[in-house]
Amino acid sequence: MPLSSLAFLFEEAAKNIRRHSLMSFAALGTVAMSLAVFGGALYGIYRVNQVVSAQPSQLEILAFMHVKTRRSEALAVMQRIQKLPSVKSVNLVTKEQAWAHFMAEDRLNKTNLTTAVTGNPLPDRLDIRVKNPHELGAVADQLRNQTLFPQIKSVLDDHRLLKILLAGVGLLRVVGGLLAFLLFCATTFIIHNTLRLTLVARRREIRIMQLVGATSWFIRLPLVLEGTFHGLAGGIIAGVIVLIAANSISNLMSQFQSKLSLVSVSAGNPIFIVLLLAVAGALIGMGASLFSIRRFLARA
Amino acid sequence: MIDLQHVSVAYEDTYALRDVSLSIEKGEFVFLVGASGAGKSTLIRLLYHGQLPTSGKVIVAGQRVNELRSHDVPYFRRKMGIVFQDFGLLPDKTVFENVAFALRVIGASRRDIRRQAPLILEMVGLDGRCDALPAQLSGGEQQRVAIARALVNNPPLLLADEPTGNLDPETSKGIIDLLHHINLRGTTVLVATHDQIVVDCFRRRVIELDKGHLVRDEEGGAYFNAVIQSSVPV
Ligand SMILES: Nc1ncnc2c1ncn2[C@@H]1O[C@H](COP(=O)(O)OP(=O)(O)O)[C@@H](O)[C@H]1O
Ligand SMILES: [Mg+2]
Repeated sequence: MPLSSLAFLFEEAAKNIRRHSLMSFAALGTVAMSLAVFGGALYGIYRVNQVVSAQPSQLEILAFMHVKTRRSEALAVMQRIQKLPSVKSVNLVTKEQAWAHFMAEDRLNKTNLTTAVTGNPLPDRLDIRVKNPHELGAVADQLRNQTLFPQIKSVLDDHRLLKILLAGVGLLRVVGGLLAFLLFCATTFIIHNTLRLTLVARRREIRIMQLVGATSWFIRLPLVLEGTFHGLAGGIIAGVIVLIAANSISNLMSQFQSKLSLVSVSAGNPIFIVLLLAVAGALIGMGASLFSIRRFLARA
Repeated sequence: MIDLQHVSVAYEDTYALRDVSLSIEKGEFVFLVGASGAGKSTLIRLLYHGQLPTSGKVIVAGQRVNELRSHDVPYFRRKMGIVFQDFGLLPDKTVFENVAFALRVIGASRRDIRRQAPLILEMVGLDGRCDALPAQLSGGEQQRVAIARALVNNPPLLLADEPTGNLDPETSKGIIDLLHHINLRGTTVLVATHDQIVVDCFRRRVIELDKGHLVRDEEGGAYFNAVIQSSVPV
């Protein structure tokens, strides 16, 4: 395509955006809004996911030996557990350490539980961390298997919090996905509608182009450029909105984290949200304009 | 240049054209006449692939129009200029821009546009009005701009559907004069009209349609068939 044609296409697109600036502004605003909600949901999912996977203390399994189990046996069990593929680390808490800790807490809280007790009734304990939070339950079940680990009396895998968080992430994914889909449809519809008005306004021009033998791409390109521009600009605006909102989201998250005694996670670089939304916006704009022009030209 | 063989165009309840066969050679000037609703516009549309025939063959500039694939249609249309009753000018573009538009959208270079557009505007007698907007022109002048736009890439064929429909008789003559002039340069010209004055005035080949039937094809004819005319009391 000669350079003058390319210049023509861009000129036409720019002229049209300027000429229908009010409509362009409306389209841009709506695209930005829906993409911002979409981006916000996406960012929320991303952050919660980040926080969940960074919670080692929440992901521990406690395996209690029988009281009579010898130290050497406990160490052997520890080594066997260490070799399980899902296990990240195993830490032995001896009955002495546990008793000392318990007595210290008892004194501190003035609960006087230990005064009546003679000797150490506590067993050795293994604190196990897994590599992937989803594998916590499976590893705990494995440790409960008495034929494999007869030395282990009981296993505590209190991952209710984790379950809640994982369920939350799942829900967020479904809701976010649904929301994203709806917003995608809304955005497409808005761009389609804007372009439909543009197309009606330019019907005469398009008809002349067809009569003098302009190829369909020559007719489409300025309009596709226009739609892509709306999408792109809307996406960038949405990205900036999310970026600003990300700060307050992060603040909210850190409160949420401290309440649940979760490890806090740095927000990372949310600039990718801007990029993502810009690209998504441009693609939606392009797709929607191609769609509406195809329909328009088919009827023309 | 144009060849129609047993062409029919049917709508649900009527035929717009019925078994029409005709042939127009390169370089001819032909009036297509008939009452309103006779099928003139339908015939013109067939020639530029604005519509397909229900049956029969349409051949224009060596192309079988029925068999054109959609991505060939633009290139096919570059072989002809088309002019309508409503001049179809872009109201926010100047005379020059309107003519240049036809070249730009087929990918012509700026140099070609700068060379060709003024030449064609001079030929239609509008070289002094390049910067005027269509609203500042008379009807006749607007039609001249439309003709200039249709001819700016030198097509061998010019189709005009009621080009004088919105013009007074004096201006109409001027427009047909211009079309003659264009014909003398070698362009084949087909003018659909129900304007008796211009047809009678110029006396070229006349093809008459009546309710979709071709009823007359006469060299140097008048708008009305001589036989019919003599039977009409004056
Ligand atoms: N889209 C259409 N649907 C149904 N009938 C049509 C349509 N277009 C044209 N016609 C009919 O076809 C006939 C020829 O129309 P047209 O070619 O416009 O005639 P002319 O140009 O000679 O006035 C008329 O009877 C008209 O009513
Ligand atoms: Mg007509």
